[in-house]
Parts: sequence; structure tokens; C-alpha cells
Amino acid sequence: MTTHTIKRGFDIPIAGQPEPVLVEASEPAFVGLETAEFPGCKPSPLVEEGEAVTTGQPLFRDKQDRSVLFCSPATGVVERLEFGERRHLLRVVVKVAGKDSFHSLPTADAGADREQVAAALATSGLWPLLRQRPLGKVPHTSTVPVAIFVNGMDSAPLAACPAFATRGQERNLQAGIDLLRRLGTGKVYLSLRAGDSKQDHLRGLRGVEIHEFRGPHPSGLVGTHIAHIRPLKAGEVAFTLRANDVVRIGQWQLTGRYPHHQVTATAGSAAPTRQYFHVRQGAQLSVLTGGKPLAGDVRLIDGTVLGGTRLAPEGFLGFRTTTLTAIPEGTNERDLFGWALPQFGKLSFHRSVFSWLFRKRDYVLDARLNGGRRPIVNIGSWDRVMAIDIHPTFLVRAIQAGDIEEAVKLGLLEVTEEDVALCTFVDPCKIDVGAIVRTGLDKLEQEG
Amino acid sequence: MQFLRRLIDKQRRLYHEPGSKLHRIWPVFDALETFLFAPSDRAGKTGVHVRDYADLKRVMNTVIIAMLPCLLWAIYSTGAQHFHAWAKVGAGTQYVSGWLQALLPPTLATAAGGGASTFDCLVFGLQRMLPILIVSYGTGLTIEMVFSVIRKEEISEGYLVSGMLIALIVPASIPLWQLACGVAFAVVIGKEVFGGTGMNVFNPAMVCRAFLFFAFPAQMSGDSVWVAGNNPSHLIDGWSQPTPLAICKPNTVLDASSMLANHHSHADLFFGNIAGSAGEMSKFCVLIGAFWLLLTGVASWRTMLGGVLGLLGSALLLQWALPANYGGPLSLQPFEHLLVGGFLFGIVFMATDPVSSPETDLGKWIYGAAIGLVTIMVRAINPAYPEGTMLSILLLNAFAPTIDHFVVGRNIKRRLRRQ
Repeated sequence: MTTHTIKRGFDIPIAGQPEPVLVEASEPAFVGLETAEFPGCKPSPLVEEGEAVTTGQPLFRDKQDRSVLFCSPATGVVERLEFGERRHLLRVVVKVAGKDSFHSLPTADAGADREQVAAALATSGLWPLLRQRPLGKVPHTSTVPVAIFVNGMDSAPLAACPAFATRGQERNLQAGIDLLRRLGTGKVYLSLRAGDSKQDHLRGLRGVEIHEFRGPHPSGLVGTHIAHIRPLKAGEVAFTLRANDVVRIGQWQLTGRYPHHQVTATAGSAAPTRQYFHVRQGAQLSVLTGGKPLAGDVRLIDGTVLGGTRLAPEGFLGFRTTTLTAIPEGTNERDLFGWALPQFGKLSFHRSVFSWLFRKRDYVLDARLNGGRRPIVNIGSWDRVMAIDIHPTFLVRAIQAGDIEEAVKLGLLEVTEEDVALCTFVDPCKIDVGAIVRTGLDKLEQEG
Repeated sequence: MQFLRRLIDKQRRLYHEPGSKLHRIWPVFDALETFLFAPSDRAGKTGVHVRDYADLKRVMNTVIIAMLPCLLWAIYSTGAQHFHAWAKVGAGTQYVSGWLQALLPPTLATAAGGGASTFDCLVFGLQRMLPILIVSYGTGLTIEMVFSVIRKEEISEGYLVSGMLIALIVPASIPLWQLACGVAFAVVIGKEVFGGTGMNVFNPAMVCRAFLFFAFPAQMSGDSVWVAGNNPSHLIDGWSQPTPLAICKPNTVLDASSMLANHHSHADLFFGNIAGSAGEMSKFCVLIGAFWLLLTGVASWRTMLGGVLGLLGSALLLQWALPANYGGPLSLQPFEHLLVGGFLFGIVFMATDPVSSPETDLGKWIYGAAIGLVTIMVRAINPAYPEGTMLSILLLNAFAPTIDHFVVGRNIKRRLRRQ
């Protein structure tokens, strides 16, 4: 076991931490599966409107990687298929009808080789739980990873604690790990927060190399972990997933049934309750927001404030949502002379906002940018929150200049949006660093 | 406040909707609007949903606050030097008042005896510094607005700092038309041709100073300084003094320290009780500004410390490397190099400009130290110019990307070696 200390970073002291209480959420009337959650996927529907489906029955497949299926998280009737431009499938909505009856899903048997394990995961709809580095996308089923990184911690602000969400799941975790070990050629690494006794059930797992991390966010990001544990060489690919995902893989492996429930926390100052829910995948958000869609000037985020997608109040939980954050939107709120006053009560990483004199632990933050967008004026703040050994401003400039070759040299392959999210947060010029990094990664993928 | 919001929201329609009457000049409206109220923009659908409270306006404003002690001293000192000089050469002549003094006339009986009150000094200082500030900001901001309207971009806040810097590094006796020429050159050639704020290679205020220095040497040469007056050329006739560095400049001066002490005490040099470009004379006020910049974390301590160490180190090194009778500024005590000339002001306020300095931590050390080295080399070895701060900062501005290139190259190699 190795302990790594992360020095550069910042823990955003934002209000609305979820309480460590787990409750059973009510069953939703509808479940939905959004295709936008899987960037790069070209969905091709496998069901029709009005068709009866069972839990685990495939709803659509990826045309790019035809063995990868996306399965129904509930038993019921397909209510509607929603299409966007050029008949691109946007979402499938299923009306839930009564008890689950399960679609039979083959598991990987003891002697299965790498391809058979991958094929089994793909047919059972669990392959999209995996992400790959570089690029941060769902890997192709033919990809052979040199290492698999399981993340047992999350340092993002208000993020659900994976240790709490997976407690009591030792058997499923171990089954999942055992399966993952057959998927790659190298080791399976497990990252944990140093000195946290709540994770002891994770420390007991066999067949993994455990690394502990301490320090501020981004100490809990898999990008940071890879850079510190086993940096990838050119051409190498690693798979990454969270401890919560391993539980679901283990459940399926042990029972042969689609793991339709997961643990999701509600967080944020605008959330009606802040706790953990055992909830059906793809459930309507209203089951977590007190029975009806959340009203008012509120932003609902699938994920955390540092990396997530804004959801409509009548939307659905995602395929791998572990945190649902609700913060005030801040529409039409504008501070008079916001830039000129000392602002003792406003959160900032910078000492030019004088709240550092009276630190609070729980600032209520809304979605305002708090300033105008400007060209890069680097006062050194990006470097101070970058835990990976790269120079983010130079990386961003290379991408902006369209020089992807140079960007790769500067570390493009080591990062995704989430690794540079703090740069975006602290930047006084309000530059969306993650969006620029994503353009660079997309361009890299296109150029091959 | 609500009233103000309603008023602005009503005006907004005239500018912001495409096709509206004044849409072409929306950047001007936007600048005024966001001066009052923070912009209403919110985070996008994906990515980061909350943002830090600091914006570029605040960063720039913090730097301006850091320069306020220097500005206040500049106002006072311009007046103090004026009355001091007038008491020396003006005896027996009729004192002519300027525009502000016509409203608040000085008590000349005491002023003539060298005992002008603080109030008299401030009135005279304001009378000179206000027009300089107005011309500096007026010219610069107008050009910035024109370029923003052409580019259809929001007006950036960068010039708010440059405008103040320029006012502090020109002599108070400068003709305003020359100042306007210098500002126009600095903003257009020093900044806008590169793409505006964030894109410039050289510090715009330093470009302005360099332009004035080479275009109008009679008023700007670093050898001697005049004192602002009320005659048509804003001078006190017949009164000029060599700058401390000019005193030490000739190689025939073998003990510059005592030569300097004959003219100015260390305390006068430190607190700025001497004539010169008023904003940079008081090292005390510069240090207050430096403290504020470091407290708020806006400027890089690496550049500042690197610069001071580079200056002291180079002075020691050259003293050791050159013959003992080399003379000139080299015979100053190394720390006296900080007290004379504009080095301290330059390294605190101008070298730390985040746009024209290197961005890597190691790069900032190298850059600061090199500014110190080149300053000493110009002061001690170069035969023409007594002061080297301006030239060394401009030179190192040009080398900043090169320094970064090598530091980043090391990072690339280091990461490749892991493989």
C-alpha cells in the first residue's frame, strides 16, 4: 500500500453535504435512458413504442460497437422513443408496470477468456460503466487495457461517498473485482482516501493493489491517480470505473440479473433532502425531490458542481449517477459593484476577495459566472489547482491554436474535463477550460 | 439600486438586441453596465456549474489599489518639489498660479520661504496629475473602445492598470500632447495589433515610456529632471537637477556612495524626497504596494524576489569581476541600487504583469533575475544611459516566451522519461 500526498488543489467549501443516511426511494412511474450520457455513441433502437420490456432487455445498441447494448432498468411498456435531428435517438422512456421480471443475461463463467468477459459485459448492458484513459470515453469492446483503476474515493465538492454507498456489498465488490482482473493484461488498482476508517470494507478486497491519497480535490480524481500510480505510455489504454460500478458488475455476475438499483445521494443547498437513496436506475428525478418536480430558480445537476450535466426537473436519473446536486440558479441576480467591494462573504480561491479573513465552511453558491469572459490572463491560479505535472495554460493555448501534436506533448492524453474543472472554477477570466480540453480530445480522436 | 437596475435594463434594449439602434457600440454600453452590475451570465449545461467570485475587473482593481500610495505621494511630491524649486529660483519674480491654484491660491509668502503647506503641495500636485491621468485614461480607453467595437468584443480591463502606471512613470512636467502620443502608440502598437489584452508581448505602459524616451528625449532623458511649473511649458525655468544615477554615472566617479550621499540622504531616497517621475520616487510607497500585491496574491513574489536578488547579486558579481577602479555606479553599495532609479517600481508593478512575463514558476525566477542583471549592466557598463530598468524589462518581455519554452520543454522531457 502506498500513500500519495496531493498538494495542489482546492476543496470548495460549498453548502449542502449529504447526510450519511440511506433510505429506499419510492418506485418511479417512468424510467428513462438518455443517449447523451454516452458521448460518441450512435444509438440504434431495438424496441418499438408500446412494446413490453423486461428488466435487462436491450433498448438500443451502439452502431459503432454493435455488441454494446443498453438495457431497460425496469419492467414495463415502452412509452415513447424520442428522436432529435436526423432521427438521432435521444431517449427511451419506459412506463413501469409492477414487479420486475428479468431478461436472462449470460454471465462470464469461470474459464472465460478476455473476449468472453468483454462480450458478456457488453450483452448485459454493463460495458458502458467503463471509461477509458486517455480520452475519457466508453472504450471499444476490442480494447485491451494495461491497467484498470477502481476509484473508491471522490473528492469533488458534495460528491456522494463511495465508501458509504458500497458498505455491506463486500461480496458483490469482490465478484466484480475478480471479473475485472480477467478483462485486462495488468493490475487492478484501487484508490482510497488516506486515513478514512469508513472504507475498511474496501481495504479488505483481494486481488487489487491499494493506493491511498490525501490532500485537497483533485486528490480523488482518477486522472490524478493514474498520474501518480502508473502513468500511461504512448499507445497504452487503461480502464477506469468507480467502486459503485464494481458493485453493479458483481451483482450481475453473482445473480445473472440486471442490477437495476443503485445508491444515489442528493446534495446541494437547494435540495429538499440531502441523503442517500437506494433508487432505480433511470428513475424520474421527482422520486428524489419529494414526489414532484423541483420548482423555482434551481439548477439540478446529474453529478457534482465541478462536472455534471444540467437536468430538467422532470428529467431522469442517469445510467451511472451517484450524486444529484441542486443549487440556486441565480437568474437575474446581479451584484452592484461586485468587483470593487471587499466581499467578506463571497467564496473565492483568490485573496483579492477578502472572505479569506473570515472563512466559512458552507457557502451557498449559484450558477453565475461572477464576471465577464476574457482572454487568458494567467495570474498563476490554474497551476495552483493542477495536481498533474502539466502546464494547463500552455496545453489550452496549443489546443486553441489547433496544434494537437504539441497538445499531446503538453499532456492532453493525461486529462479530461474533470481534471481541469478546478482551473475553470478559479479562473478570473471565466474560461471554460474543460470545454477546450474536450475539443482537443475530439480533434485528436478524429485525426486518429 | 432597483431604480438603477430598471433604468439600465431599459437602456439595454437599445444596444444589445441585434438590429437595434445602437447595437454597433454595445461593447461601450456593456463596459458601463458591468462597471455597475456584475454580468448576468451563468454556467453552461455541462461542465463546471459554480465559479469563483474573483473576475478580471477585481484583479485589475486590486493592482490599482496597490498603486494608490504611489499616486498620493506623486501628487504631494510634485507640489513639494515645485515649491522647493520656486523658493530657490523664483525669489523676486511674480508667482503665476495655475487653474486649480486660481481657485485655491497658495499662501505664497510662506511658500517663497520654502515652507509651503501640505495643502498647497496637494493643490499644485493635483493641478498637474489630474490632467495627466485624464489624458492617459481618456486617450487609452477611447482607443480600446474603438478596437472593441470593431472586434465586437467586450472591453477588457487591462488598460485601467496601464493608464495609472503611465501617469506614475512620466515626469509631471510632460506636455500633455506628448503623453497622448505616447499612450496612443502604446495601446495601438504595444497591445491592439497583437490582439488586445492577454495577447501583447510587451508591457504597454513600458512601451509608452520607451516611446516618450526615444521620441522626446529633451523632456524624458534619464540624465536630469525638471520640476513642474506654471509657465507654458509647465516647467520652473532654470531649475534642473541630475538624477541620482546620473550623479554616479561617470567612470571618473570612484566612490559613488559618498558622491550620492553629498546630494541625497538614504532616507530622502527611500521616502522619495527628491525630484523625478513622481510616482516611482518613493520606495516606501512602492513597498506598500508590493505588500498589498503579495497579500492579495495578484502579483508573483517569484518575479519580485528574483529581480531583487538578481540586482543585488549582479552588482556584487560585477564588482568582483571588473577592476577595482572601474568606478561609476558599480562603486555604489549593492543595496543602493534599489534606492536609486526606478528599479523597485519596475520590478513590483511592471515586471509582474502576468501577460508579458513568463507563466511558469521557474521561468519567473529566471526572468526576474535577468531583469536585475540587465539593469545593472546598463547602469554600470553601458556608456549612454544612466538607468536600465525600462530597457531590461522590455528586453526580458521579449524573451519571456523563450524562457517558458525551455521550462515547459523540461516538463515534456520529464514526462517522456517516465515511459
